[in-house]
Amino acid sequence: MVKKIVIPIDFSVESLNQLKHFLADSDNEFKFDIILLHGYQIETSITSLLYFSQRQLLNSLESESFKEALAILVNKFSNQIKSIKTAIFSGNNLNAMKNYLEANDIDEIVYSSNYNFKKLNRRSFEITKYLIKSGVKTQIINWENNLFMPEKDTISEIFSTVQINN
Amino acid sequence: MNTQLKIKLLFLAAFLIIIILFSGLIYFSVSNYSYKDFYHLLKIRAVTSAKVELDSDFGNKADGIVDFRTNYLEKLPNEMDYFYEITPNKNFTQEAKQLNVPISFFNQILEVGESEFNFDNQFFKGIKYTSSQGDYIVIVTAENYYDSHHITYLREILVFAVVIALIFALLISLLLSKSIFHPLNLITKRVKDISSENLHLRLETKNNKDELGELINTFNNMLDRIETSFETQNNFISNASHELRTPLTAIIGQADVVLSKPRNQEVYEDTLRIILSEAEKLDKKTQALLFLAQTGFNGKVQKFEMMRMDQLLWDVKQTILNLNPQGKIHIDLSMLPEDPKKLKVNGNEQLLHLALSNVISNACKYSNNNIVEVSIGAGNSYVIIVVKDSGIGIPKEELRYIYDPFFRASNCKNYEGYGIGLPLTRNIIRIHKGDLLVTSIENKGTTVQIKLPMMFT
Repeated sequence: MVKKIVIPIDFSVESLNQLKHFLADSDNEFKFDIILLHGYQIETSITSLLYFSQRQLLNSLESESFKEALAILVNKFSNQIKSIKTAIFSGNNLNAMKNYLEANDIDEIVYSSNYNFKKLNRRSFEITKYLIKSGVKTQIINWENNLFMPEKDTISEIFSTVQINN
Repeated sequence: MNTQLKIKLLFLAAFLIIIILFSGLIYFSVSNYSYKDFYHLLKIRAVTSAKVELDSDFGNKADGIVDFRTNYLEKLPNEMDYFYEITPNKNFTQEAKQLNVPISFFNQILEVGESEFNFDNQFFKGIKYTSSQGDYIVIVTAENYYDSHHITYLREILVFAVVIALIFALLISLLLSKSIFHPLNLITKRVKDISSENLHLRLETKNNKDELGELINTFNNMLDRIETSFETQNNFISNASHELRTPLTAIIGQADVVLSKPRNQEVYEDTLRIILSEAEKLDKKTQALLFLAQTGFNGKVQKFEMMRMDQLLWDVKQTILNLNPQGKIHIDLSMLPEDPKKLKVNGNEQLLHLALSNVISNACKYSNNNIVEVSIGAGNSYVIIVVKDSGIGIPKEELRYIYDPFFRASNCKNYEGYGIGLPLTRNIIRIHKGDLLVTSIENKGTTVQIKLPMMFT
C-alpha cells in the first residue's frame, strides 16, 4: 500500500527528525511517497517568474549537510520510501494549501508541534498552521530539544538519539 | 613584446581601422552622390537647352524658358551644348571623335534615350529629344565643379583629421595602458620584496570589489597559508626534537644517578625497568612521528582495497578494548543503509584502522571511559562515521589548532598524549579523499565526523 505524506521542513537537519521517527515507527507493509515541503514566497517580478526554476531554487536552499543527512535517511529506510522529494509552497492562505494537498493526493501530514521552525531566508514562512487546519489526517512527532550538541547543524546531527515524546 | 605594448598597439590598430572605415564611408558616399547629382544637373540643362534651341519658334513659352535659363541657371565651367539631328542610318563616329567620346555613348542614346560619360573632370550627358523639327541628340558637357573643388577639399580634410585623430589615439592609449598596468607593476615590485625571511609582508589592499582587489586578496591569502605552513614546519622540527629528548633525558638521568655509587640489586632492577618503559615511550613516539611523516607525503602509493566500514568499526572496537578493557564503546547501527554495498570504501586497511582507533581511543580517554557512541550511515556519495563522546571537550578558541602536530589543548593536562594522533588521522583521511570535522562544546563533549568516499554510489 502506498501513502502520500507531506512533512514541513526548514531545510535544517533537525527538522528531518520528523521523517526519521515517522519512518522508524511505521509498519513495514506501507510504502510512502514523501514530499518535504518548505514555505517560501517566490518573487513575483516578471523577470524572476520568466527565469524561475524550482530545481535551482531548491539547490540554493538545501545545504550540503541537509542533502547528506537526507541521503542517510533514504538509504536507511529505502524499503519504505517509494519516492521522496523536496518542494516549495508559495501560497499564502488556507485554501491554497488545501488545493495543493488535494492536487497531490496527500493522505497524511506528519509534523512536529513543538519544534521551532527556523526562518532559512527572509522569504521563508511557516506552513504548519495551514497543514493543521487543512483537514487532512495528521500525525504528530515531537522530540526533546537538545541545544547543547556540538554537532548541531552538521550531518552528524541525524545520528543523535533524541528522546521522542508524542 | 610585453602585454603593455601589445595592448597599446591593439588599441591603436583598432582605432585606426575604425577611423579609416568611417572616413572612407563618408568620402565615398559623398563622392558618389555628387557624381550622380551632377549628371542629373546636366540632364536638366540638356532638356532646357533643347527646348530653347529646337522649339524656340513657339514664341512666349520659349522666351520664358530662355529668361529662366539665363537668370537662374548660371553657366557651369566649360559648359558646351551640342545638337545633332538624327537621320536614318546616321553613323555618329565622326561626331564621337570630335567630342572625344566613345561611339557607345551615341549608340546608347539611340537605344535607350540617354547616356552618360565622363573623362577626368569633364562630364557628358546626352539625351534623345523629340522636337517639332525632328529627333535630335542633345549633349551637354561641363566640368564637374563639385568634383574638382569640394570633393578634393573633403578628401584633404579627412586625411588631415585621420592623422590628428591618430595622434590623439596614441596619447590616449599610452595613458590608458599606463593606468591599467601601473597597479600590476606595483604588485610585481612588492612581491619581489617578499622572500622566506620576511614572509609576514603583505600587499596593500585598496578597493576590494574589482578584479585587481581580488587578485591582491588571493595573493595575501596564499601568503598567509605559506607563512603558516613555514611556521608549522619550523615548529614541528623543534617540537619533535624536544619530544624525543624528554625520555632520553630521563634515561640518561636515571642511569647517571644509579651509576654514581654502588647500589643493590633491587635498585638496579627498578632503574632498568624505568629505563625500559621510557625507551618504549620513545619508540612509540618515533613510530608515530614516522607514520606522520610517511602519510604526509601524498605521492607515496599505499595499497588500496575494497573494505566494509562497519566491519572495520568492529575490528577497531576490539583493538581498543584489548588495550583498554575499561573503554565503553557502543556501535550504533540504527542508521545502517538497507543496501550493504553502500558501506564499501576503497582504502588501506592499516591506515584507516589506525585513524579510527585514534579517534575512538581519544574519545574514550578524554571522557574518562564514559560511553562513546560510534554511528555509521551512508549518504549520497560518502560513508559517514560519527564518534561522539560526552567528555571534557575542546575549548572553542583552540579548535583551530588541534591539527597542529604536538598541540595539546589547555584542558588535557591530566591526560597522557603526544599530540600526534589527530594530525596523523587527518592525513590518513585526506589520502582517502575524505573529510574530517571536529565539533565540540567544552565540558559537554566532542563529536568527530568522518566522511569517506563510497566505492559504489
